[in-house]
Amino acid sequence: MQGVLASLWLLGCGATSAAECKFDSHSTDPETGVTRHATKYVGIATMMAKDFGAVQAVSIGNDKFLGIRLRAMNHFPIPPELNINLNASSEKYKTGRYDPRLKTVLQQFEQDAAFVPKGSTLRLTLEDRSVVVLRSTDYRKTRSQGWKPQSDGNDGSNFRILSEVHALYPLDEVMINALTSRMVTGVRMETAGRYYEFASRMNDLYPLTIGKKNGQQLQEALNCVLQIKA
Amino acid sequence: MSYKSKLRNSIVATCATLLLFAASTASAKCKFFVDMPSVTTGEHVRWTKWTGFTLAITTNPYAYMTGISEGDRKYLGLRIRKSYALPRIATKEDLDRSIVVPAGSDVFFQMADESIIKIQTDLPATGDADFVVHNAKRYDMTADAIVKVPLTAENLSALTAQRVLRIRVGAESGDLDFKFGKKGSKKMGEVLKCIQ
Repeated sequence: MQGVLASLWLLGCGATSAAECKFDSHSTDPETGVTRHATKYVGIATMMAKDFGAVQAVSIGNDKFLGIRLRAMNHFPIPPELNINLNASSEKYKTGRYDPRLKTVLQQFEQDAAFVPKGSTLRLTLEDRSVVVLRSTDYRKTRSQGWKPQSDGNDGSNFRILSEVHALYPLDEVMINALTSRMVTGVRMETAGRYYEFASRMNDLYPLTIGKKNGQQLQEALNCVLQIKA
Repeated sequence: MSYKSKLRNSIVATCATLLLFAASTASAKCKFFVDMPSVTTGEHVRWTKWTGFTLAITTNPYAYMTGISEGDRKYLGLRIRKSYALPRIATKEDLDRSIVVPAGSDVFFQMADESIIKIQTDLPATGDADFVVHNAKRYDMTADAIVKVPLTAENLSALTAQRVLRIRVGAESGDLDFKFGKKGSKKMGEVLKCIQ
């Protein structure tokens, strides 16, 4: 009887620990046969923050990466020489019949809004105040969408672009060791145009920090991909 | 048990409780928000909790301080916060140059007896800056930089010996001055004692 109970308990423990590793996707490249595993995203910004970020641990073949998804709002001024007032042309914009000059400007804005050029940094501050700097391997850009809000006192001379970008940062053994033994408390991401600082706690006496729970979730995600062997 | 002995026992118990409470308060003064070995060097790292010494509402830039001990090295950490307006949307250059204190910059401490203690920083400090767009006309920048001022045993005892009146940090864009009140100066002494 005791043996049965012990095995049931062990099974339960196994199920619990396995349940902790939640993967968002796993796929195999049909050409190379390399398998890619990605954990579920861990949100690192709350609704209070302006920009939304989420991180995941990724394993591609033998290589491990830290993935980040950024959703950010950028503001761009309409060049005054074009003499276009967005308020005046908002109806046209809605229906897609806007000034062709504006279209060219918007396309440029959408390109510049948020992309991660090769070598861009992701600075992670750990709980012992040491810093780990990761560098992106290649240019990343996904989608961006321009819009002009109607109710925030916008006088029609600036434009907002909502962008989403996914970037991967390779991790070496030293980085993995640092990130799994110490909790991440701060994330600063470099894009072509600016930096994004992620925070879930805003306290005047402390620099912006991501919460303890998010930090632990990120460590768990990294431990999950470390278990994966190619 | 007689009334007198009961009273004596209760007085002794109260005194003991008060003493315990006093001891716990005294030890609770040193609060650290980092107190662990460094993952990179293995040295024990301690950062005391940030303490404000300038009035954030009326002063700009304003600052917080912390006592840092990394192995045998001691630092006074100054977290400088500056906010200002820009006539246009901030570029990456604006964000990068918000607060820059290069390595080798001078930090001056003016003491109560008008003497000056000059310390050079050994690490560069760059501000993390962000901007808020209120509407098309207002772009507010906020920058945050942590300057680590290295402290020798001599400096540490000199700074705790008497009141500090002012600190001047030599930033790239000009000097940043912070005035100490009596309270602020006392807090600095407490912070530095925690890492001594």
